[in-house]
Amino acid sequence: MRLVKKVLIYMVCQGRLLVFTHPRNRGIGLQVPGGTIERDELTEEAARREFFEETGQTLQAIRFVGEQFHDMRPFKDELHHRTYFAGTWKHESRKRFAHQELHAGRAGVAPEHFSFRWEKIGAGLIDALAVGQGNLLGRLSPTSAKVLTPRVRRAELVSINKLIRTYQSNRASEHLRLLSLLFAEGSSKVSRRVNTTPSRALLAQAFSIAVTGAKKQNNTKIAHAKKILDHSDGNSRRPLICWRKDCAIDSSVKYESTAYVYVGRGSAPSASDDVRACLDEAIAWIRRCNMDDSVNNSLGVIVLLRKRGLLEASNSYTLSGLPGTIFTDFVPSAFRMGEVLLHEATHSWLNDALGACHVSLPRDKLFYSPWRHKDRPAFGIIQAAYVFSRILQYLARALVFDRLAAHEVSYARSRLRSEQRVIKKHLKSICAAFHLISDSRLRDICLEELNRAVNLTHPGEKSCANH
Amino acid sequence: MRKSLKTEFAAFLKAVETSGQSTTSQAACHHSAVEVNDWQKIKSEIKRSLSNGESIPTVATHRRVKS
Repeated sequence: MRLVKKVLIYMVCQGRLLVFTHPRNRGIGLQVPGGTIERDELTEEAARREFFEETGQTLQAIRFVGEQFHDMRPFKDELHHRTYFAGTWKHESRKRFAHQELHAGRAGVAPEHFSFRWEKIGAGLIDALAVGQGNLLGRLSPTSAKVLTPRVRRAELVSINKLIRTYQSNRASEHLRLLSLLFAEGSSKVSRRVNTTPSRALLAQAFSIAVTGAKKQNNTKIAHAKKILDHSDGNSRRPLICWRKDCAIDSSVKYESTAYVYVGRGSAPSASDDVRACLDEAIAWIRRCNMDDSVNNSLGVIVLLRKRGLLEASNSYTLSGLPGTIFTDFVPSAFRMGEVLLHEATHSWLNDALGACHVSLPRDKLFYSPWRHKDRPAFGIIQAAYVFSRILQYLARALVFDRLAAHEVSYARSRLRSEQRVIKKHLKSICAAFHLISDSRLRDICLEELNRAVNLTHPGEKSCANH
Repeated sequence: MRKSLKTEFAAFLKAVETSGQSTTSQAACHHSAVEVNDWQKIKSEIKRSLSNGESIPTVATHRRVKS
């Protein structure tokens, strides 16, 4: 891997940071001004030169912020040794401005276009900056990293989430229309229930079991579908939580474990208040870690399979035919349940993202899965690698909060070490699978998440990555 | 089974087919316990922290129903 020396500049004006995107290549993401230190150039000189080239403005008084190493894989096989400086904007303050970088003396290099804007400094921005450029932002002021600012989202993520919402809405409407053919008298009851994630999950369950019932001419399955449709439990926006004893088995979607569809138990849900409180706290953990984008539209029904102890690994699964439903064992730790919910909801998110972006993946190209320890098609490896990249970030972020029990800290640290090692070892093949995603927005998001996972440091442990 | 019911089912399935809605289910993930890398190592680290005096939390999984 090639070592490249870089400078980055945190330019601040009235509590806001100067950031930019490349209008012609938005996939690179949100960045701060900076660039490569040239041979025989002093670090501070490089900062002034790069800032002038990229913004067209001179850099006045600057101060050293810190240094950091950043592994640029899978984007480039480079290790960046970054030096960060901070400056205060002394020029005319404009909300947004554009600039074209002129590479003087570099024949054949097309000028780059930058679109600048100011974003409020806080936790939301740290997470939004590409390839770890926000990592030292907390050093500008000790409190900035903890200031909860509105999250700045990547343009690609905003665009894909919008597509997913339309995709999910269309799917629910279509499920409803088709089920109305079978249950004409029940259609008015369910027609108002397509706007919440639980109601959509129930609709998908009713649809799935109705199709099986109709194919097999099995009236019991049709009755289950009707019972699901008639249920009012999906009206709430909160996930519907039930134990598998509230469910009927849908043998048509059997996959290693058994799939269940919710048939409900009237007004007496079987999950105890303790279990509900634990799962509410699990969702709070996901939000605390700034990762609720993955779960907002994917947590409809949670089917609890078995109760497991803290010393047992839990099983969980998601099925593309039952979007919005998550099947999982229950472990009495909100933090660990947060991991499970995030894991499965992220699979659902990616399923919908692939569908909404019309991505078709080849079935004949196989990639080694370090989780299944066998070759899998691109779909499987993309799902696993994307989800584990997100899970690693969840574990690292949760460790920063001083709220985990000692056994949860041990779990998070050892799991983080183990899975990060796996991802780093198989980075090339994961990256090759990601490059089969034909939609550039989704591909860029997947690659960025992978880059973040590779670069995670282990909070509370000695690290040589950051100085 | 009534003939009309069979006809209804057939019409429903025909409409499903025309709609293009998927009727098959692919496992997006089956995150099985045996697939957790280094689970024995993780388990021993949890055990070590629990042996340092921390108690194992328990949660009632089902609401008691008064008879």
